[in-house]
Amino acid sequence: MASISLSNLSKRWGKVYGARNINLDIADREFIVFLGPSGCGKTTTMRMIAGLEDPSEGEIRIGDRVVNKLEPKDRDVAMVFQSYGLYPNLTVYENIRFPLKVRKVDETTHDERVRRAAAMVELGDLLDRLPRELSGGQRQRVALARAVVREPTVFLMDEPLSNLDAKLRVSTRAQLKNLQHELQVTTIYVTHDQIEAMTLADRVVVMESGEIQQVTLGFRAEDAQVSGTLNQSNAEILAPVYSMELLGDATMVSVRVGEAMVSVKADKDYRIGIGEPIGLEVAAAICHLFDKNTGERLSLD
Amino acid sequence: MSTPKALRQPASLRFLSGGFLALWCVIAAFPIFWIGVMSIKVPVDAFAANPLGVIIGPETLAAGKGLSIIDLVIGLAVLVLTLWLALKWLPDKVRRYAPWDQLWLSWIIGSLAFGLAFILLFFGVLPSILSVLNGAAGALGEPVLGLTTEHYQAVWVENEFYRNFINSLLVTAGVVLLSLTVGTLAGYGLARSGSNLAFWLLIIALIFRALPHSVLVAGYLPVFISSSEWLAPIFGDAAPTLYGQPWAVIAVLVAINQPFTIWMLRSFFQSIPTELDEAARVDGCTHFEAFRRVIMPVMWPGVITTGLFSFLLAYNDFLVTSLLLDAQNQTMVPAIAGYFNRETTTTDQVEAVAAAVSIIAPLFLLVMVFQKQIVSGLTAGAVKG
Repeated sequence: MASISLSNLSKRWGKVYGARNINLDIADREFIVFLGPSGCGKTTTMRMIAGLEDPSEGEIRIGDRVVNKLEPKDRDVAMVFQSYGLYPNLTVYENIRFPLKVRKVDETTHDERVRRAAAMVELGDLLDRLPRELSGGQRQRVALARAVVREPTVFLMDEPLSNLDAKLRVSTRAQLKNLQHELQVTTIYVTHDQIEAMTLADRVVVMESGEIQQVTLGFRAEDAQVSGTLNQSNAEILAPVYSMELLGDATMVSVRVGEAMVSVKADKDYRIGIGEPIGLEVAAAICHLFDKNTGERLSLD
Repeated sequence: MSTPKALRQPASLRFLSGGFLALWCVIAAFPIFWIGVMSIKVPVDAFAANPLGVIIGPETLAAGKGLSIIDLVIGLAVLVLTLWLALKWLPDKVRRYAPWDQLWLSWIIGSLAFGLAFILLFFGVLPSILSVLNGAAGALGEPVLGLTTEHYQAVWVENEFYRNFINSLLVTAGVVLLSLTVGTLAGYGLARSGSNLAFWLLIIALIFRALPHSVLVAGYLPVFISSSEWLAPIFGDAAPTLYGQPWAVIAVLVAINQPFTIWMLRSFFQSIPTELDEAARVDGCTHFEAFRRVIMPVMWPGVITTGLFSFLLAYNDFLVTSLLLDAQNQTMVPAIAGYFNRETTTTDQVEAVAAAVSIIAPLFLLVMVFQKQIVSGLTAGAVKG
């Protein structure tokens, strides 16, 4: 169990900043999500915490230790990689056991711990398979079990759900949430999916071009940048329909307004053809307004 | 998996390409087949003007050396049976009785036992059984195809070719071991490094590979000749003269071969996703442990393929070995050249041919044993499809 604190953390390749001046305090047992578009520095920041990337400037503390100079193995973190990183020559069982084996954990406890970790992610009956005989979702769960088995002080997850199909993503997401609740381990989770971020996180760290834009709790959005991705924004519009998507629980209608694309969520039974004119009206009272230049939220007065 | 109809070639094209392949195989295999035939005939037959004379060997038969039809049939049957056993029965047994973590050792022991049993049966027991059968069979037992092993006996026993064989073994083993050790370490380092230095090192390695071999030999030769002087501070009076020793040849061949092995192993390492190293390091390995416990187990196809190439270079080398080795340390390839000189007799020539055939056998064996390992795909399942 440990808190993490990043101070003035930067990563530079020549003149290009991968991450710039990151300051963040993460409490013990907190579930933090780094959210942002690809290339915003969220994975770089996580890799610096893991020790796979050396920071150019700044300091990383895990617990009360400065870990900048420590090897990844000495930081007591476990990581789930976006593309799993399973050991292809080992069975599922041996894959999960590997961290225990290299860390010379008492041999007699291995079997029990491996089986418990496998049971947590519902892999119990696949232990003898090789990774190449598993589906994507199963491989993902092996990677999770391998991270869980050691009971580390910090979990790092790099877009662990991005390679799964929609249905599996929802169930694995629930599994993750449950797992974190059960294990009570400080967790950093990287994603570009807001729903994932919002449902999993205690706090969401929104990143953009290497910098932290804001740190927010739950579903509140205060910044134009965030709002652009969170609330599909609104206006008073008469325009032809650009597209209609049936989402199941709702129908999403998009229209083009000048340069911008406006999306409106309608009732699930609503139907309209592409190209047909549509009138949209938005009550001013429910609008959030933002300054075009500063991105600051404006008050309605 | 059958080819989909849309991709299937027309019969004429298939016939043509198949025929061309067959023709190419015949052209490529014929010289080897022919020296194989020559090596088991007395010199008069081996150099007969009539090709049929070479194949059947009337003079060899007249000397009372040959195979009867019974010999041929039973001998071929035993050979086919052996091949079938080696390909089907042996792998099955090895897999069943091998302890899981010692599969490699089991394969080596199994293959050695199998090979030894075959040699004992085929060359020890079978001839005496056949001679009894031939005596009983009458006309069928009369020799029809000339065969004599006298040249092989001359080469291996009288000319002590086994010495050259051992030297070859020593040199190739040294070259393969050294090249692979240095090559895997360097290849891994270069594959995982993104720096400019790594790139320039590779380019310099390529330039060294492009140098003619004789240039390297010329550079090394004076150093080896005078080695007892400059090694004296370290070894004292026991400092060896490297010239003429297998060590010298190993050093030069490794120098010639290393750029190639590094390039080849580097590309194999590059095909292994970096997530594997990173996962291992987060899981508790040092960088070197990650290399040893996670990367090497999936590198075997690369190591074996590269090792095979190193082996071939060392085994087949003529220039370096003939220039740098003393007569008693001579390897097989330059030893064959020793059969040819101004006074060469036809017997010498057929013996040279027999020695040449002897050299081929280990190569065949090696490729046969490792052909299944020379495949990629061991990393399947490591990362998302």
